[in-house]
Amino acid sequence: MAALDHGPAFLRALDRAEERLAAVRSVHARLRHFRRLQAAAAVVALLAPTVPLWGVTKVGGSHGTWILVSLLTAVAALAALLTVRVACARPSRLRMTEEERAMLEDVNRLRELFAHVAEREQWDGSLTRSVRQRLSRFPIEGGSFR
Amino acid sequence: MSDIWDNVRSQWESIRHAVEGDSPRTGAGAAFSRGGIGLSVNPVAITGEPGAGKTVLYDALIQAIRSGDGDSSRSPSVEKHTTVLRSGGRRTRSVVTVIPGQVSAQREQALTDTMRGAASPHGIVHVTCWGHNRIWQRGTQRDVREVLGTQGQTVDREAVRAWHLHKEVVDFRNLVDQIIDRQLAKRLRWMIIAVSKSDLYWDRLDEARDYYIPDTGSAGTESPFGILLRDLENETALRLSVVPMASRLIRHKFLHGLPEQTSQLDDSQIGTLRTHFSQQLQEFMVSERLGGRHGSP
Repeated sequence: MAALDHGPAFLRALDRAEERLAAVRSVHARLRHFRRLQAAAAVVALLAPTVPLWGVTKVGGSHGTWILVSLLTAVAALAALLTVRVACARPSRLRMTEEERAMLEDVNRLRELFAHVAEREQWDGSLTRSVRQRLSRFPIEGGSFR
Repeated sequence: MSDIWDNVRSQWESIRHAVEGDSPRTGAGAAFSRGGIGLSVNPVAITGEPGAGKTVLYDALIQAIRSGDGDSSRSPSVEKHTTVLRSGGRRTRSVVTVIPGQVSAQREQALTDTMRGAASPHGIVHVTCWGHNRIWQRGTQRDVREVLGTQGQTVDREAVRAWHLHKEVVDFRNLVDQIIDRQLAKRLRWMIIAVSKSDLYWDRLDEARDYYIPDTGSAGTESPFGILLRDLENETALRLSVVPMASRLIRHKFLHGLPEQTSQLDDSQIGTLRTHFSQQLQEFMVSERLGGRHGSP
């Protein structure tokens, strides 16, 4: 990244970090959705063995058919779980980690240079407060993401 | 010179003499330890710039640091601890919150939870370190080096110290202004300025003292920090104190490539500093319980 010690470059870097923060939050929300889907698939896979019992007593028919239905349901649920994990959640998590790392690297530099740039560029109180507020929206490295 | 700063200076000097062995060392004094669940009567906030040593100071007070412990690390979140102060037969329970120094979501949350609105600590320990802050990331160290270089300055420890002192003053001004304007900590009664990592600059302790303690005798040359502290004294009724402190033996590197600075004190001298700091904390906390003066501006 280019030098950030003059106002326009500093503010551009802050804009870019905010875009990254929005992207990270969006991926974070998507990951929550994937986690819910995986939990639902796991519940279906766990409940599938009870299907033959339920089918034979409530609907009737042969045990073999119901066992087959139960096996197919469990396999389908496990396949869905694995697909969500491998094809959706893992790439999203990798992307989020990468974006978050880049964002925090930039933000840590901005935090260190903030007081210096504000003084050197003679920012007025309102611009200084506004930049401080914008920096306050970023998490600390290693901290929990809200 | 106002009496309060005379007293603060003389207390500073007595601590220095105790550490250097010129006067009898005091006993164990107050002892802090982790407390369990219970009602807290003494909310205390620990504030200060990133890398000033807030977490390490708290750990030193509850004696959670042992010789040979690993290096400290950056705190990623708000730290809230229930602590019990034992002094003689008396026990004082306190909730101590370490506010992250970095301008961040976690810091905002901590300030909202502990200092804004109806919430307020009764005491603040503001941790400073006379420009010996630690910069955690190598990339950020490069930035500081570049900026100092482009300003035509020699990149040495004094330049880096000045860089941190500027940031420290900006941060402290922000805190002082908000306390005076009653936007923060409306029930605040006392504040201790902990001049930490003093073992790294013990041979220049006079300079650090003159930087942090206001002195009307040197009007016109007072440090920006001293001016802010004097404002706080003039505009509020807070009990104020400035105390040298060192939490643990450390090595300090201002920037990658600059020479390392080592501790000039030993373990027992650091223990003496910790004892005096604990006594000051105890004095403020106990006198507050007994109905000491309040800090409303």
